[in-house]
Parts: sequence; C-alpha cells; structure tokens
Amino acid sequence: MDELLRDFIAETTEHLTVLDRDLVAIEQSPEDRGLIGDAFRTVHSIKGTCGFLGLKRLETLLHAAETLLGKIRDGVLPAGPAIGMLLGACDRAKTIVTALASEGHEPDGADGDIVARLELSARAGTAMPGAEAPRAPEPATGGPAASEPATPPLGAAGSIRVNLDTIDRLMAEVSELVLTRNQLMQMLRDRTDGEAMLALQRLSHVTSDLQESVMQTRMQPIGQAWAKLPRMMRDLGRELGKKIELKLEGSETELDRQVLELIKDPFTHLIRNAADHGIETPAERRRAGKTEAGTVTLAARQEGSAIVITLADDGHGIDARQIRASLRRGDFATEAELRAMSEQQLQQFVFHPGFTTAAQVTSVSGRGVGLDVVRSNVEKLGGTVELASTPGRGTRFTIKIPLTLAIVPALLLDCVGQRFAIPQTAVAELIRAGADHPIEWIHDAPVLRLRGNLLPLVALRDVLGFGTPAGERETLIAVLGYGMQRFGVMIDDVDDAEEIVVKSLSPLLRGIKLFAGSTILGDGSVVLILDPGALAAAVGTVESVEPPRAAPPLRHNAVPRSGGWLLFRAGADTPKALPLAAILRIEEVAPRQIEWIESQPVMLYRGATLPLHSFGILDHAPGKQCVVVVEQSGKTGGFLVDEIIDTVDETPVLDRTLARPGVLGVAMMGGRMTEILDIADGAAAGKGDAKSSRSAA
Amino acid sequence: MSGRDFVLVTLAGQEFGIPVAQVRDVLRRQKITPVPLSHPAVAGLLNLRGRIVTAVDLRRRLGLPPRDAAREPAEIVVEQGGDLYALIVDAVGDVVGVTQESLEPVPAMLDPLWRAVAEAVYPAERGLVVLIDIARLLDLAPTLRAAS
Repeated sequence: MDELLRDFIAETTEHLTVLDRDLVAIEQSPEDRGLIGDAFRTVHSIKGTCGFLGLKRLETLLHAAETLLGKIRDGVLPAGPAIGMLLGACDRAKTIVTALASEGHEPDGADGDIVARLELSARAGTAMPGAEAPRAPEPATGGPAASEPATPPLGAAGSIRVNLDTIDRLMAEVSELVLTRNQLMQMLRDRTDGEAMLALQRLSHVTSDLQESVMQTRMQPIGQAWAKLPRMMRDLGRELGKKIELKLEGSETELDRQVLELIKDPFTHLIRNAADHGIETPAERRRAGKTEAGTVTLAARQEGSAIVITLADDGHGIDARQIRASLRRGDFATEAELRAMSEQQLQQFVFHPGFTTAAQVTSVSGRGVGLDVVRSNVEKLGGTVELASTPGRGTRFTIKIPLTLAIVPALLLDCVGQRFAIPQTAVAELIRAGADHPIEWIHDAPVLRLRGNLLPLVALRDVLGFGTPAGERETLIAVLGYGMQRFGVMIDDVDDAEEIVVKSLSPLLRGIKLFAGSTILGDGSVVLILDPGALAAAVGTVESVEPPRAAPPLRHNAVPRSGGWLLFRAGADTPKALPLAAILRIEEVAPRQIEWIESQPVMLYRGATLPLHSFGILDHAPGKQCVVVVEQSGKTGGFLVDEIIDTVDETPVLDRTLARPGVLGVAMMGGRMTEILDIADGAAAGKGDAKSSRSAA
Repeated sequence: MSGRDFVLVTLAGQEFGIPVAQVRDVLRRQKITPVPLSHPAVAGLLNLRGRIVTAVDLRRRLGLPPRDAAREPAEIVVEQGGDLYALIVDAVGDVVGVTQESLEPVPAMLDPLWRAVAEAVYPAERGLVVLIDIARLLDLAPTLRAAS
C-alpha cells in the first residue's frame, strides 16, 4: 500500500476517535463553542486529505457532516438534535476507513441515506436563518471554513510516526543493554583502575538516560485508551434507559503502552458493569433520593512507580444480603462460614470465578460477571484490584498497576542454595521468625502471628519440591500480598535486589504454574521468577472459599456467636476452645477407666459408652486426665484434656483457612491463637486422632 | 526433500542425527540453572549471549542410562518454534548429507521412546543413525502421559 494512504488511515482512525469523543461531549454541553469548533476542524481536515487522495465516497460523506457542523458552529442550528446523526456519519466513516485499510481502496456502496439526512438538517438551518438559536458572542476559535487552513497533520509539529514494533524492539535492546551494564559493573566492582572506572561510570549514566528516554517513547496518556469510553457510555445509557454521566480525571497520566493495551479490556468490562448493574434506573434513583443521573468516575494518578486507577459509581452498591443468598444457593459456603464473614469478605466473592459464572447468581445482581477475569488480568501485570462498596451509595474499584512491564524491580531469594526472583511489588515486608515472632503450628500448618493477625505460611522448599523440611525455628519470612490475601513464604535467605527483564519460559516449561518466567542476572546466571499468585494458591488461602471438602461436618455446625468458651490444652501446644453451652460436665478420669474399641478410645459414663477425642494424649503414658463431656443433638462425646486454661466470654473472629475435620477454624481467644473445636466431632470422636497424634509428637 | 544435512551426535554409543537447518550453536561446560518441578528430561536453563535456552538431557529423554560423571557432555543448540533448546549429548561429530532415497523407515521394534522422536533411520557405514524430529523430541507431554 501507498505510504501516503497508510499514513492517512492511521491518522484518520485517530481523528475519528477524537471526533467521537468530542461529539458526545457536545451533546452534554451543547453551548461549548470551543468543542464545536474542534469537531468542525477535525472533519474539515480529514475531508481535505480525502479530496487530495481521491477518496470520493468519504469526501462526500464528510462534506455533508461538515456543512451541518458549520451551521451549528455559526449558531444557526442547535447542536442537540444533530449529534445522533453526526455520530452515525462518524461510524460510517470508520467503516469506510477500516475497509480502506484492508482492501487498499474505498469499498463499494453508497451513503445516500446518511448524506441526505445531514443535508436536510443543514437546509432546515438555512430555511430559518438566525432563528432562536443563539449566536455565539464571539466567533469560534477559527475564521470561516473556506479561509481556514486544515489542522496540521500530527506529523508536522516536530514529531514523526514510528511503527510500534520498532519501539518495542528498541526497548528490548535497551533492556539487554541495561543487563549487560549491570553485569559489567558487577565484574569490575572491585577494580580500582581509575580510568576504566570513569568510562564505566559514564557508560552507566548514558545507559540509564537512554533507558529512560526509550521508556518515555513508550509512554502514552491513559486518555488515549479512554477516548472511546464517552461514546460507549452514551450508547449504554440509551440502551439501558439510564442517565449516566462519565467523568474522566487524570487522563493525562502516562502509562507504558503495553500496559495500556493490556488494561483496556478489563476497564471496558468494569465500566459496562458499572453502567449495567451499578447505576440504577432514573426512577429507582428518584425513589432513593438521588439525582436522576448516575455518575461513573474514572480517575488515574501516579503513585511512585505505580499507576492507581479508580472506578467509582454512585449506584446501589453490592448488597451483602444478596451475596449471602446466592452463596447459599450456589453451595459456595456453609451457614457457619457465611455468618462468620464480614461484609468486606462477602463482597470479595464477586471476584470468585465459580461465583460469577453460576447462572442463578447473575440474576441477583449480575455484578460479578467476569470480574474474576478482570482480577486475573490485572494480577498478571503485577497489579492489584481492591473493591469497596457501600450499599445504597455505590461501588469503588481501585486498581494499582506498575508503570512499565519491561524492567521490574525484583528481590532475589535463596532456597536450598538456589536463587529465585520475585517481583518486589508483591513483597510487603521481610520478617525473621524467632523469639520475637515464633512460628506456631496448627495441625500441620505453620502460621505466624503478626500484629494480631494470623499469617499462613508456606515453605518455599516444599513448594519447589525440594522436600527437605525446614526444621529450624529461625527462618526468614517474606510477607507477600496477592489481591486481598496476605501470606508468608519461608525462605533461607535474601540475596539482593535487582532490576530484571522478564523473559517468558519455553513451551516445555510453561505448564509449571509456579514460575512466571526467567531472567538473566547481572552476573550472567539465569534465575527463575516466582509467580506470587501461584504461591498464594500453594498456601491454599486463595481457594479457601471453595466448598470445604476436607471438613464435611462443618456444614451442620455453627460457631456460637457468644455465651462463653472453655479454653484448654490437649496434646499439641495450641489452645483449644469449646462453647460452654455444649458442655455437660467435666469429669476426672484415671487411665485404667479408658478402654479401647478397636482404635477408638471410650469410657463408661452414666451407664453408657462415651466415645473420646483423645488428641493423641493416650500415646504418651498419661496420668489422671480431665474429660470434657459435651452434648449435641442428643449425642454425647468426650474430649480428653491435659489442662484447663480458662473460660472466656468473647466472640471469636474465625479464620477458616486452617479448618480441618474436627476443627472449625482458628481465632484469637484470650490473647492466644486458638483452635475452635467442632462439637459434633466429639460424638464421632477419634476421626482425626491419627493425625493429631503425629503433630503432637 | 532430496538431500538434507544432519549433525551426528553420540549417546551411549548410539549415533543420532540432528537436522543442521535447526542447529544454532555447539557449547561446552555451561552453567545450568535447574528448574524445579519440571519434566525429568529438562536439565535446566542456561544463558546463551543474553538469550535463555532450555537444556534437555537427551539420555534422560531417550531412556538411556545416566552419563558417566567423569565424562564431560556437549551441548548442541537447536531452534524450534522461535525458542532455543540445548540438547545435552555425549559428543558431537560430523555432518552427513542424506538423500531421501537412502533413508529407511523407522523399524517397528524400536524402543517406543525412540520411535516417537525418530523421523527415519539412515544406514551409515559404521552403523544405523536415528534421525531425530526436533519438534517431536521437544514435545514432552506424550511421555508424561505415558509415564502416568
């Protein structure tokens, strides 16, 4: 294709997008003479080039649009009624340009319909010259069309059009240069050779500057990605019969074009979602005492090396009750779990894949459709999505994404002598476990108490399949944040921080979810990059909302909200708790009173056999024991106890991620992390015995 | 397909042919970063002038006994689907030109692991050379399935 034509297509595509945006803006503020002038000049400029290139069809169409716009600009016609028609012409022009790009010539066809309507409207203007339409107090920014020169093409003002591939290649090469520079610096670190060091330093500076400049060429204002949104919102509003105002703030914020490209779809999705399900109909809004028009605000700003984008609507928000109802229906969580969940936790379910695809859930609010995809797309970029919603007031999504993907700061971790990189954005802090921060064990799961919260831990060597268990109590823990999840990764050591260029793995290794890619370090060695999301999955917290396959008894049991708890120790060190309401009495029992029916310890209690939950205590020659006798649904059972600690009157905040058969979960009680036992399991005692005896040993 | 060149490589005394069209380099003594959780035949990753190369141990890939630790292996770098792979072999030998007519079909009684990656057999004077199809060699999924 002709170079001239190719440039024209690229330019016109951009111009038509701008025109689209301006027309929608004019519809909202029809008195804005400046905007009308802009739209007029855009159309005029494209039309001019069309004539030059002999694009007859496009020229005729745009000429008609220009005439109508001219009448509006001159105040002969009001803008309002004409906008729909002009948008139609804009759409047709886009169709023609698209065909032009693929075929190299204007497609066959006629635009008589549109042209006739445009001309008719324009004539209506001349038929009643100077009617009520107010004249502009001063002429719009330019003079009359005939004498006005076309807007200079983008290329004229000291800039050129560069193929994106060229810039991408340039970026890749600069990234390599940065790495080579790092490598050289490392090799020569201990040299004292003055002259060589001076040259190296200069090379280093130039490389950094070059990197910044090239990165700058890849930066684009986020407004470019937003250009199509006003039109989309307008059409959506019409389609849904809603009044929606779209506010864009910080559209000059610059972002790497690769990142921009990757967040386009997630944002389109979120905006559709807000219009479709967040904003109410005008009638509903009136009833709720709000203005008829809803507002969707999209705002971007830079925060250090990250861009923060918020999308807020003033609609009806996410109703926790509805989520609860659909969770119940969808079999996602048990009653007990639902009751224990905070509003915030419930709202997070909109990101859950199963939740969003379930058909019966979409009818509730529909608010979750595809949000899991939005989250995973953002997290793939090393970003995070947070959600806050107030019923009746609206919903706000806060998305944080790195400025650029080309070079990311990473932390190098050491595990069994091998180094691994992890993106620094994922690392919240580093903690040395030891006397101040002891690692505690709940069943087989290690946890760390951190500022009053329980931090689930995972050993990197286990995840990597190195097998050797981390026996020592002193270990380094990298606290990672992934979405709303926080967890710790036990590592051997931290090596260094380094800027890395992420390279994708070959197809042979792509199946290994744990690695997001690999990179070459300054010293030339290759290291693997850990995927924080995969690590989170390894902790098991990410899928904690799945039906509790491991703990079926949960389903029938609720955690009593209050009414007092008995805290005691049995077997392992971690205190255990039972609700006082379920306790019949506490008996003292000698070892000889305990008998065995196969592997089940039992004792005689009021003439009946009482099954005992022994927590492995009976494996170590015990002395006199206490037995807590509990009753539920007419069944009785006993829990063997080493030591009664206390009774407390607290409402536990249950963490279910560590639930297992017989244990509903873990909560802070009496100032210590405590396992809340499942009363029903007392009756079916002995189930988890083999396991608990192992962890107690 | 009349006349293609193959590089001869040796593995446990047996000669294999690697299509020259796909060969990019021959290396020795590379520092290899192991990749945990990968297929047993994957030796790890290495840095070839700023490009990351996945190393595959052909002895393990073809079910041959492990190499004598004292023997230093050689690595032959091939390109497949835009990615580079280093095939770890015992030794790299000559290049032979092969005509389509001189090829023999892959014998049915050949070890299934070998048959899966063999394109044809070339009867050289010293003995039979198994000509390798690189795409199939690097497709480790079928072997994984067979193992499980």
